[in-house]
Amino acid sequence: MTLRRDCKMFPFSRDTTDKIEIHQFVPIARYGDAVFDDTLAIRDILRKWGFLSNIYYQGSFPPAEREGVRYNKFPPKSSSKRIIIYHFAIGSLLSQFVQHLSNPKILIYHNMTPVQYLYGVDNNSAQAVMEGKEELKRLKDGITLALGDSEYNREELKKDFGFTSTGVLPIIIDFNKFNKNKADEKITERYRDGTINFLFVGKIAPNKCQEDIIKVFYLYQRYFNPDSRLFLVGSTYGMEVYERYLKQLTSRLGLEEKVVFTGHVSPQELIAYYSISHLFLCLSKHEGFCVPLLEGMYFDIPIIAYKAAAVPETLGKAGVLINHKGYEEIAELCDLLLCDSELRQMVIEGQRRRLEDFRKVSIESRLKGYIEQVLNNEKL
Amino acid sequence: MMSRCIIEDRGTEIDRKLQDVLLCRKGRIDEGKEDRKDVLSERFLNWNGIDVKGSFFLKEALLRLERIPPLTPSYPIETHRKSLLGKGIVWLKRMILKLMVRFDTSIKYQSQVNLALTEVVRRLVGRMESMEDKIREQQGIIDDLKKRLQDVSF
Repeated sequence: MTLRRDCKMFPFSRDTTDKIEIHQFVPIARYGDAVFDDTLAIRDILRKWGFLSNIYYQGSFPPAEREGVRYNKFPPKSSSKRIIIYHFAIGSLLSQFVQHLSNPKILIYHNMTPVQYLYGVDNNSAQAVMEGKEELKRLKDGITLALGDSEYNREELKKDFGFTSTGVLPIIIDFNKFNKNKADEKITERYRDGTINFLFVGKIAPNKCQEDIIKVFYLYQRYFNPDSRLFLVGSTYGMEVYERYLKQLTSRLGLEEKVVFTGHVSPQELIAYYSISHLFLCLSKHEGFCVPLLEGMYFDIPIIAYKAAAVPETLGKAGVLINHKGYEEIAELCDLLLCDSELRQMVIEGQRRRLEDFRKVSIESRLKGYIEQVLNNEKL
Repeated sequence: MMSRCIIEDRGTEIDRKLQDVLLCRKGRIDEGKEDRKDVLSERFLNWNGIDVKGSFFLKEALLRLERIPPLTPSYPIETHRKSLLGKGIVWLKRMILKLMVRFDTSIKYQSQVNLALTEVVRRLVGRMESMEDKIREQQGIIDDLKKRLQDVSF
């Protein structure tokens, strides 16, 4: 019995998928990293469509290394034609490697943190970002199609780096992963105690302005509800200087018992933090996309976010967007959303509507369009 | 009453509703302003205590760093590529890049190696330039002596 190739399931003909391989290159393989999770999601879609698709990375954190192989093991020759998808988020040796491959290339740009936020905090990353800028300029001519994961990133590709053929492919978030995993029970048992929980998810980094979140939280617990807590969920790797400052600030404000720095968390722990939180507060000054906003929407947590970089685009008309960092006003707003159930519900409903735009199916059709565009351009 | 509404108006019902409620709300925090700590107005400082968000010195330092070219075979200087030393440096850098790719140097070490190599190359170029200056200077002395010798009649 032969399987019928359903046109939705298999948008490309067998003739095409047999002749063409689509491989992805990504600097770091690590579960929980937005760029790598996006790479995994794209690979699964490509495989579902019938393409041979593998992941090649420069570095990896166990156990994610099993998802691909190191880039220097990329077979130089193949009987099939190839398309390369290069996920760019920081300067790395991969750029030079990819540049020298003769295959048609799609670049997916996930943005780089502006260097002024990194100097004096993580000089290695600052250097890698500067190198990344040079690499992008050099890559420009060899890229068939450059995609930003947000309109903000696409604009940067055009204006700052001179790419001409561009598009937008939002990050694909597999929300099923939240259904597949269970919330960590230790965390839910410990913190589900009637206390109001504030949440921010993202690497501890100066561009994410966790200091502002702590200050707003200080005012909230001081003037509105002392029975409250703040979770700062995210890795501190390479950001020890900023982490030290945040802990000093927390201590000077007398919040040692109320602010929890979790460090890098497992998927189960992440689900637990989302499921016990009542408010998501994002005061970042720079975000290339901000996946946690969508995750917060998925868990029906009302979001308050500062209008900066790609945040307004990701948030759309959902959540509450603020244009000024007045700590007092933000604390008042937090209290309003936590106390007024009608307003809270309105915000959550808006977020549910917005989340539909990021469902996997709609992004899949965009990806299909871009691959067709490259296939037509290159006449493979 | 709140002095300024922080909510961005995106034309949605919830934005207007929140704006109205917030503007009419008597701010609780204003009443206890004397309790506020100065620490709330402090900013995160880095780069040895200089505020990242606008220091002239920091901007200058960043500009200088931006000017340092990254590690590529064409650096140090195009004009020196034909000289033996220039060719040697280019060859050395090509080899190092190949080795880095071969042995898969991590991003962290790559940046450090890059910085160190850039510094080494800069010093080598500096030394080469100073040697060229000396040669030019000596050439000038030789030319001058030749001229004088021509003028001298025995």
